[in-house]
Amino acid sequence: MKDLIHIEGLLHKYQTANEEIVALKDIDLNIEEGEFVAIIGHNGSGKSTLAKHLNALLLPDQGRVIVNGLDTKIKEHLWNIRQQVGMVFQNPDNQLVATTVEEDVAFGPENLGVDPARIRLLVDEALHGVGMDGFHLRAPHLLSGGQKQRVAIAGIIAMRPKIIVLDEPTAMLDPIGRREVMETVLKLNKQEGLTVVYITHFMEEAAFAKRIVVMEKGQIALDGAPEKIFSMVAELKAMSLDVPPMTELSHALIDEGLSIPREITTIEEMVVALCR
Amino acid sequence: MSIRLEDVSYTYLPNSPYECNALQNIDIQIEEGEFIGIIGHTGSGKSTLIQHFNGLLKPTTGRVTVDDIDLGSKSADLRAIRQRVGMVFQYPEHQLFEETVFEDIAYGPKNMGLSTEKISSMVQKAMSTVNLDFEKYRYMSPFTLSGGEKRRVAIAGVLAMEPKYLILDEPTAGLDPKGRNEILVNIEQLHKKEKMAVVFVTHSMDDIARLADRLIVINSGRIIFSDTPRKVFKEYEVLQKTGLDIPTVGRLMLELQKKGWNVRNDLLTIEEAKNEIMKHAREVGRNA
Amino acid sequence: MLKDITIGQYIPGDSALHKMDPRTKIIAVVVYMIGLFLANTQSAYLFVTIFTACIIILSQVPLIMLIRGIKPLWIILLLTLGLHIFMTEGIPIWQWGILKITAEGLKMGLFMVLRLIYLVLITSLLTLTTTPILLTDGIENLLKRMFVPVAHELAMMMTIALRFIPTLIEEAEKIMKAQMARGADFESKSLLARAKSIVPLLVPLFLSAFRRADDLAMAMEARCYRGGENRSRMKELKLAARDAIAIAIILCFAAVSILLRNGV
Repeated sequence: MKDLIHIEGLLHKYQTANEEIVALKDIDLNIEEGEFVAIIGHNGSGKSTLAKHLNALLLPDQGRVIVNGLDTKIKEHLWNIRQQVGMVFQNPDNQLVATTVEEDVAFGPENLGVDPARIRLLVDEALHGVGMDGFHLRAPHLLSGGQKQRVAIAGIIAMRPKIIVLDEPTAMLDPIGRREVMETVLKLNKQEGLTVVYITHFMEEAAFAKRIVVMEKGQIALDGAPEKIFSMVAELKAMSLDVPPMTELSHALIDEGLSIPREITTIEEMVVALCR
Repeated sequence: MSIRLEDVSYTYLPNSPYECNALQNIDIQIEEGEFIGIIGHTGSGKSTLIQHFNGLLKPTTGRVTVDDIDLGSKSADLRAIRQRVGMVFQYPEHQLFEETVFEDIAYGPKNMGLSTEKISSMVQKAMSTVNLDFEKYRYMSPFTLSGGEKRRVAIAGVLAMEPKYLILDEPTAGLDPKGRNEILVNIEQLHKKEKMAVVFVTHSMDDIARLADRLIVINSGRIIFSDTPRKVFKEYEVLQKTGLDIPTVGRLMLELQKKGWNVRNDLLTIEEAKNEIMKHAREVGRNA
Repeated sequence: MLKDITIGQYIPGDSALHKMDPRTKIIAVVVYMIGLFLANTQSAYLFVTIFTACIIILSQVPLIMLIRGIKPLWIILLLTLGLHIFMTEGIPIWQWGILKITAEGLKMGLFMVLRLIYLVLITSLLTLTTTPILLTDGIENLLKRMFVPVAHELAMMMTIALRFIPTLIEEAEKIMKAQMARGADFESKSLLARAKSIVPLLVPLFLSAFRRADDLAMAMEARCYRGGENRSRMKELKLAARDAIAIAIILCFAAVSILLRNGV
């Protein structure tokens, strides 16, 4: 499978009043087409900073970020990159720019100068893709958090990107909203083959990914499948991260002498393991 | 001494096309020193409910009393009530406005008309409660702080008024696991040390299961349960129907029961689940 | 709750007015105002009244909504009436001490009051029959044709403002409640106390607005926004026969009003 994102030797630093802070260091990362990668880390680990390099909102101080063959440092590539790498942010309100849902979803395609008739099609398909048919004329401020984020996602997929990066999209949502967003993103990855980079600090969400990258102090600390990553309970706790409750329980039971697999993350897996 | 709501109902925009019955026939009591969890999903009426505790909203029908003072009476001093019933809203860091951390935390005590010395000591105490070093932070601008620090400044601003009852609306919203744990530990300490009554509004059963003496579950403006966490979680079917859930370990034990296991289904923590599972394992002779 | 009430409330409908291109309506309002302000005889005002009534009927907007728009103005209307009744020179028809009412005064007072009312009615009709999007699109289009340099940016500003007004109102309510919970008094009798409470409300609100602006700008850039150049629109404005007819009618209206003038 092709490498859609290729990052090598990425370094990012910035000046504050008193000191120079290194936000990202020695980042080498490759993401293939169709992957669903979760990036986790506590606040300040650099995960959001890394996300912003993927669509050239930030540029490297050293190293390079290549998106589908395009180097983010090259100015001429900028808008091409941003069409291919869509980004959804944390605050549901501060992404919606228009007074109705369909106008907002049309915003991206309009910026790309797409033909009016085709925009209509893209908007309808995008809203259908996020399960918000019929919401076309609704006002954004009257939607729930989960609905707003889904409109934001629709606004991105209407631009037909190859990759969608979601920077803590559920941090400000209630459980219902979180579920709506998670289901939508999973569906887009499975059914449309959209490559997903999903940044979160909710371990239950990261557990849905095929691959988890753990960031700590601006560097990649761990990289692997969820079962492998979550089984490293001690390391994760040392980085102030949680593990899914069932993983913690399975490790506690193993310590008591019970013979069950280390890589349990869900209730179903636990029940199967215990009832064998 | 308690906060009492007697047959309280609240209707938004009555007699208009936007009329909405947010609360219906609410009867609750919050005793001094209790730790109460209020659970309900968005739109259930939880925010409307807590705003009755300190008189920000007046009931359409029914009565609210705080320590035997009727909030509806003309002589009720609402500002004094708001000192006694402290309220921390969601994302409290959005209310910061002063030039220094000290000044912002002092806002509440200043509105109480206290002396400078008293205000200063209240601010110091509040800052130490939320683990913000007084000398380090007092002159800093709140806007240069991290998200977690800002939140602690905002909470200190309410604690500085030394309330008897502390209402917190989703205090861990938007925080990462580390931030969430810090706040929870802080609140637990407050409750134990200062014997403050704490009312903790949340969606998350996991957060509240261990800490609360009593859980109040609200759905569509009505109270459907008001009991100890263990008893409330036993009603998992009703909870699930209303879109709420029980702690993860609770769900696990239910699944195990379905498989014929003879285990308790009212557990709250991973530790308890571990012990119960090990007990069962020993009983059926399973070993390593 | 305030957020449920939108500014310049739009009432969905299917009338001839609803279907008109927004640019036609905007131009028509301007021409109407010219016709209205140039009317200065009884017959002219009679004509204007009938014409305005016809437009109101055409719009299918419930009269009660229009009357609601007039209600807040009653003080100004009364003042205007009073000023003209008592201050206009002419033959007195009633006198009591210094106070005198002239026939001219009555006429002028009535005319001025009607002028104000019709002005408000017609502008209300504009916002009641045109969605905010179409309005801003219409304004942007007209400004572009008049070669106003930042037409697109102005329209974008208006759209974003309209989008965020309800959100900011909601936030202001939240901030007020949070400060009230700390002893702020927004309802005090003392003006000084109320003034002091403004800072804890405005500072966080402004900060929040700036933060939103920052976030929104980043989100817009991430969606390839780079100003109005080469930008298409999903809904394009297209003029139809009814727009030409409407312009013709409104120009006739202005012409008749001028013709019915007393003097030049």
